[in-house]
Amino acid sequence: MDLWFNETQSKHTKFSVQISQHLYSNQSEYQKIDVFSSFEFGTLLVLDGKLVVCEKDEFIYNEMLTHVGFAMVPTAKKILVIGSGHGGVVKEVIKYPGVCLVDVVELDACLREVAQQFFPSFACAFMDERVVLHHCDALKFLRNTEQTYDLIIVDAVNAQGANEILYTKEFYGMASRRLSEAGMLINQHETSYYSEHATLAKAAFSKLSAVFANTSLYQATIPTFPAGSWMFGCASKQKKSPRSCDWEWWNRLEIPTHYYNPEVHVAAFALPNYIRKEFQL
Amino acid sequence: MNRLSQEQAPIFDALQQHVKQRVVRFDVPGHKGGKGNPELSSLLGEHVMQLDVNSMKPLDNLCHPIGVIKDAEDLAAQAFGAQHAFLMVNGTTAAVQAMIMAVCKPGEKIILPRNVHRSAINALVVCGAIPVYVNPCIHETLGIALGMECSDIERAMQEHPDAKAILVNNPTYYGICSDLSSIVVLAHQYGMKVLVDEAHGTHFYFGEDLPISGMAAGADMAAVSMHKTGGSLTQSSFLLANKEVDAGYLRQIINLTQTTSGSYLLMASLDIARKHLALQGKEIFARTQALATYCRSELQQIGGYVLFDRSLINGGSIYDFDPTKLSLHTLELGLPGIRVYDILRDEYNIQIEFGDLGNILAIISAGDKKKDIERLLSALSEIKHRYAGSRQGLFDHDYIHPDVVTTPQIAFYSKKTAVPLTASVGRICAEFVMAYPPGIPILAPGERISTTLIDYILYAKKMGCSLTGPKDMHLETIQVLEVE
Repeated sequence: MDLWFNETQSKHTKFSVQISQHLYSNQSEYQKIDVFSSFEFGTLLVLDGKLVVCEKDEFIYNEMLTHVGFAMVPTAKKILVIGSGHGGVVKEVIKYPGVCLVDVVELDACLREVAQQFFPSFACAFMDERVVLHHCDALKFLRNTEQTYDLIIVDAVNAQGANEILYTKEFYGMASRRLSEAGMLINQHETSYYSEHATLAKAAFSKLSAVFANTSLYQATIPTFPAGSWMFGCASKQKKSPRSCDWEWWNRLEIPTHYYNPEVHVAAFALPNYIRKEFQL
Repeated sequence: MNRLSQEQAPIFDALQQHVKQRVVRFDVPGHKGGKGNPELSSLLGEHVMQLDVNSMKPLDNLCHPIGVIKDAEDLAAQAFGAQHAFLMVNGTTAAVQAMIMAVCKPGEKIILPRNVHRSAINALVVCGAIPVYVNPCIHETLGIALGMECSDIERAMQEHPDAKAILVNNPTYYGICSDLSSIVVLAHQYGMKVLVDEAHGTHFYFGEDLPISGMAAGADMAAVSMHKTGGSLTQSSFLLANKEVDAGYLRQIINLTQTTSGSYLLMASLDIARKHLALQGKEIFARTQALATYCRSELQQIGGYVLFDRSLINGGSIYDFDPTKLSLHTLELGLPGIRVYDILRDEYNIQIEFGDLGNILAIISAGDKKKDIERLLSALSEIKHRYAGSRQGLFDHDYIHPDVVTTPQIAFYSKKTAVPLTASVGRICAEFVMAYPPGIPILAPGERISTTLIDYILYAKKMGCSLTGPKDMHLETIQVLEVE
């Protein structure tokens, strides 16, 4: 059988993956959820037609979204994860022994069930007793919580669709109010390669920079994401340099990673000229 | 009438049929189904352009409906519980004007609250009727104009028994309703017609647990902005009439000013919106109410904003309240409404309906997504944290009772002269001055200018209100009557 999953990555570009089996399909209250198994990339989670988790390269995305922040905020104890209802980021966060609270805010409760069935290594993160899963709107959660967080990690692909609200000034403003003085917010920042994504990334970064005194971008290569080149944003109240992390401390923790290491961390902040120009950095 | 049911949309059906037939076009509009204007076609879509057609036998004629337009009007009358319904394509403004012109001839009186929309006073300029204003009460803390008290209305009727009609806002822009049923009884006792401006009240006809609608209260005519909360295209509206109204005469009045090239896009949108509301209105407005209620409860948590809700109801000037409206008083946060309105748009990319000196209004509808509601609430929370300050030096609306010296028509057509605004005290105004929205005149033609009014205008200008109406776009000068 010749079954292919197609994702429109830009208006005129498609990415195709040959599928061995369509494992799951459901319209939840919030989005269309599909799970496929593929020959090349293993199990795929697709939300509203966008590939969000791919078994073969998820480690790049989840590690780069998580460990960069921890290395820069080594004292991080209270963590807020926005999105990641399948647990992809959460499984990285709980690797840190110093963490005492992980609030995960995910609107769609179906994602956890799907993860339990198809991404059990993600879903088991929710068994950790430090993790509290909140099924509610992120803006509403931030408005009503009185907790202060050391790291806020925003795992929200599909920034043009369901997750648009996580790239607004009101979201950044409220997140900043819930962030500790030494804390940091990390979010995925699309690609700067295709113009549709770049426009969005620029708008998101300028809003982030309007709210936080210190912001920077870093990138990683993620083969199944549009253009294969993906950016991340980080924002903090205090100035932090990606080069002055306490690597001795980090190495001592012996956190198992497939992609991330101190050299990758530093190198990720080195941006090519076209991105510097685009973002006026 | 029996052959028609609310599931039907006769104009829409006829239009579709017409496009299917691929009739060769040698009539207007000259864009010929879009082919003559490719740029516009690509903006609006070819399908829309094909539906933009002129009157013809199978599609009926808005000026003299005997076919599908008549059917659509009959269905609308049935849906709204009226005797007659007229499709209006020149906005609710035209509907308000038709109501007034149908009951008032030159020199005849009409009773109305001063917080009417400019369209009503415009009608007085056109037809020469004389306004008798009833003081709308002002809310002590919110500073907004409310509804009319029955006792004030009865006094006006006793003083002006020759008045032909009374015009009632149902509701006001902020969602405040007068006791419409009692007003109808009172007016009919005095032999006056009741005209209802329901620019903001379409949903009263279809939702549950909402204030009473004009037709249900027994009013004689109502102007209903289907496009505001009913889902049709901007500028489309219904004029409703009850049995005491001569429908043929009303049609003639409408035809005095309405276009003879009624847009089928607008008419079809009215037809479909009516069908949609007749069949699903109850659920649609229940959802709208639930969203508005949610907003109010979240805003209560955020604090600082004073909410308009049913607790305002006082049996008189606030006889009822429209719970679908999200009106907030912002002055307690030290922020004029117009400032919150501007910040929402400029900083948060959120456009609300209006901001005046002390309040804002956001329109909530079944079309809203929950996540957009969260954005609005969060932005309001952010604004409170970032911008709240002292109330000192900020003022509310104060109702300034108009000193009507001559009719709007006489004032408008008299010999005028421009004088500096600040030097106009005591002169008779010859033009409109209003903050838009809400579009309620601060000054109307024929009213005496006072120091209080000038101070109010200057303050509104300073706060960033958009002042419309005057000939001098910057309102440095104002048109006044040359001689009194």
